[in-house]
Amino acid sequence: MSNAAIPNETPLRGSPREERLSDEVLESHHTRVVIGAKLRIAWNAVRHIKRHLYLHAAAGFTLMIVLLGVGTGMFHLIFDFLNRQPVFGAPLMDRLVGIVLLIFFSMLLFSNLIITLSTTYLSKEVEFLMGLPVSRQAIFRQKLIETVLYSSWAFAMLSLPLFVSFGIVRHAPWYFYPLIVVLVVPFLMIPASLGAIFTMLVTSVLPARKTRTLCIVLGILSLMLTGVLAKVTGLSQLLATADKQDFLQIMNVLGVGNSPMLPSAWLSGALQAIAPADPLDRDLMRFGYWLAMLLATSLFLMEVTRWLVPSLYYRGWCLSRDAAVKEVESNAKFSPFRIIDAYLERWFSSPTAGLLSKDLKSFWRDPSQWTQLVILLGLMIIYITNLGYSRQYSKTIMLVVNDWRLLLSFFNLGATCFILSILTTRFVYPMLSLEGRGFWTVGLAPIPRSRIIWQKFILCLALCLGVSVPLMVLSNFVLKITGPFVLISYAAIIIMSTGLTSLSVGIGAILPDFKEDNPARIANGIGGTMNVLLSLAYIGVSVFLLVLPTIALSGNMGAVAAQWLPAYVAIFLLIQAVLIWLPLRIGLRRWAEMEF
Amino acid sequence: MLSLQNLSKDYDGFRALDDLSLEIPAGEFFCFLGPNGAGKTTTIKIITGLLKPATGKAIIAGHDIQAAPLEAKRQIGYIPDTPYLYEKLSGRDFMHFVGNLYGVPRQEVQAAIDKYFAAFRIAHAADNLIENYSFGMRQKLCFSAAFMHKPKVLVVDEPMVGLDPQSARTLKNMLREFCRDGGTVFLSTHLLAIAEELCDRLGIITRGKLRFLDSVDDLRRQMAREGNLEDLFLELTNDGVTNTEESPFTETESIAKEA
Repeated sequence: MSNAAIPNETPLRGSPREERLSDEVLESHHTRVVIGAKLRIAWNAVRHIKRHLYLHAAAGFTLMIVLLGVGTGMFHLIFDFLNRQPVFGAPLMDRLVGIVLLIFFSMLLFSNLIITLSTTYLSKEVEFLMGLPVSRQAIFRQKLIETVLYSSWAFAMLSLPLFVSFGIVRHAPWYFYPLIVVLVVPFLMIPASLGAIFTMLVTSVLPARKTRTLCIVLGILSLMLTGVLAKVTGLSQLLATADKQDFLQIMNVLGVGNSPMLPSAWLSGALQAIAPADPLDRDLMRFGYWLAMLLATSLFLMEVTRWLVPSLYYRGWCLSRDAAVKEVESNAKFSPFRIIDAYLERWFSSPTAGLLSKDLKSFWRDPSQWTQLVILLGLMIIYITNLGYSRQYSKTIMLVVNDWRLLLSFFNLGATCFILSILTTRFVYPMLSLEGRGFWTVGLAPIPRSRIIWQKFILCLALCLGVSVPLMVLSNFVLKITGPFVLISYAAIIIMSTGLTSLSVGIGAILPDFKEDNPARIANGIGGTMNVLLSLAYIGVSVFLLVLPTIALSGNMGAVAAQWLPAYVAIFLLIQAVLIWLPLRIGLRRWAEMEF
Repeated sequence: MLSLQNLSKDYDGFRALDDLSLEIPAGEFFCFLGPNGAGKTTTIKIITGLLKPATGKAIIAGHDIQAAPLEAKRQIGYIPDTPYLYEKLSGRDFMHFVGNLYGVPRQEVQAAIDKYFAAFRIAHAADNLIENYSFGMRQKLCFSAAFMHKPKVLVVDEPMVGLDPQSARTLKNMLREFCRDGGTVFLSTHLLAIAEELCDRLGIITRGKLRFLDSVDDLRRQMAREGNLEDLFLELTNDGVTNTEESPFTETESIAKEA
């Protein structure tokens, strides 16, 4: 609609019908204006990318392509293996797709809830827009679009390899691929609308900040519950000990993902209907039925959302502003922070104690920070409790290494470090960026700038070791690892935790993002991406260097290898020392020269 | 007390500061004026060590901020115009944090909290998270923190923005007292009335160059006319502005004044 349709001089209002029509015209005009401004912001950001940032953007893009390629390769490997199995291969593959899409759907539902609260209720932009003569419907609509975009990029990254490899393995016709888009758009709108409806209902009685904490806690609980349920239903054990007798049982368990009540099952049903290579096997009626289910449900939920906005949105938004100011506990006589502060001041110099105390308080008082940490710790617990079953898989790979447990231990070391690298990217890398905007306080204090970097390094290393060492102790216990590898694994995890912390602190100083104050967004930027990439490379190189002598020692040339072992250990430690020292050194130099 | 010697700074080929030199003795209240983009913030950032000058030196109480940053920083208190504060700390936590950074003993921090929070009327919010503070309360907290370590030079950027009249009066009195006790105030502001009321000397900067450096009376004398500081300031800072950059309101305002 052109701007001429906007009632500047001639009012559209008159009869109730016209009143409604003019509201709709205004609403879509406002939506277009706000979205137009957003597009302009994005375009300006692209146009004004500085020359030195092109390299960063290119690195990020390459990483994205590599990740998509690796993902497609992995799914292809699994699907191709299943597809070649007689009788049960194809149905098992279909059920697996159903389960994976169900997991994606749950993730979308959860992320939509959190993002709706942040973008629609707590963002500063909404405060600005509410003060303008813009309809609340238009604000909500624009924010819903933003939410869908925010929450969907991860789904796109994860699901694209799944869809593409599914199509390739099934030899799907060319139109399978464009039809994915037709199916995915209404599929994405379902969790987005459900998230919006739930949010509006809850925020009309609970302030938005509390609702967000509630959602995060609910998410953690449901994650834990899934882990427990997987155990109760015996899924983990079944997958670990599967033979042909258990096939029907596995199919029943995996059948959960294909329940006709789930939108993920509609999506997977539609994909299965048009994927077959033989035109006679394609079921266009079934495809049409599932597509209609997706479209009808998404449109219905969007209409319900639209219907609820006038009565609930503004009420909830106001409530989020009215939340009572709560006093913090730090001045209470027996406050935990008072005790912690006393110890910090006893152990560290005054400025370092101040910085440590500030970081700990800021972290603890921000539920969006620690609840994400709890989610990751929950995942780790699920991972460790399932490690016991993996012992049984490993019996088949005894041909490679004499002791299968040893191989599994290396895999476990790599996996633990991988989890640690997610933690360091999400929590350690953004720490220096967060100091940037407050640098008028810390930067003006009479302390060397290097002190800030060392303080972050000490704090993060202590926290990383607090996570990684118990994890290694527990996994060694579950895997029943004994002998010298216990010591090797502890030494390795301590060295690699130091390396990963040094890398994240170093990259945090080399590639900070001072414009953003949300640590999650800082971690998602170019610097965070570089941190993940380099962390993975570091883990790969370190584990490879550890595996190499182990294979040599257990092979035919074991005696010769044993002679060279001390020299090898010395070289390994030297390489590690360089890998730990280098990022910190570069980071310290860059930080000292930085202008604010 | 504060000596700026031939300071220059470039941003991507643009000269933001051009050979700026200033000497401000102990006990002087100095106001730094200039239109937007004149180079005031760049000067402040160089004084506080957040930017490195391309040429020249900033000496604070005898210490070069680049050569001996720790000694120089011990002598400075800085209040930015839009301070970023740690949202998840309370006002009291923030004071203890800053106290720790400057090595101020805990009892002195507590005494400063009692004194300044009462003076600025924010004692009731001492244990609230900063995220719940209004802009003015944040500004008051910054002043409390800046005074706490007893600096010799106070660098202040737009101090009165967001303050209620009562707190603005309290602040003016505090700044005057600070100068009476031998401290030096370097104040950057757009509020010409503040400069007229408080400053011993003023400097006017446009396009990175210092155009005027003396008292308000001298400024009037040099411009060979009477009038308030706003007229003199506009006359001085409009010098050299091309026709294309002139505001369409300038003429209207002049007409209105003449009328």
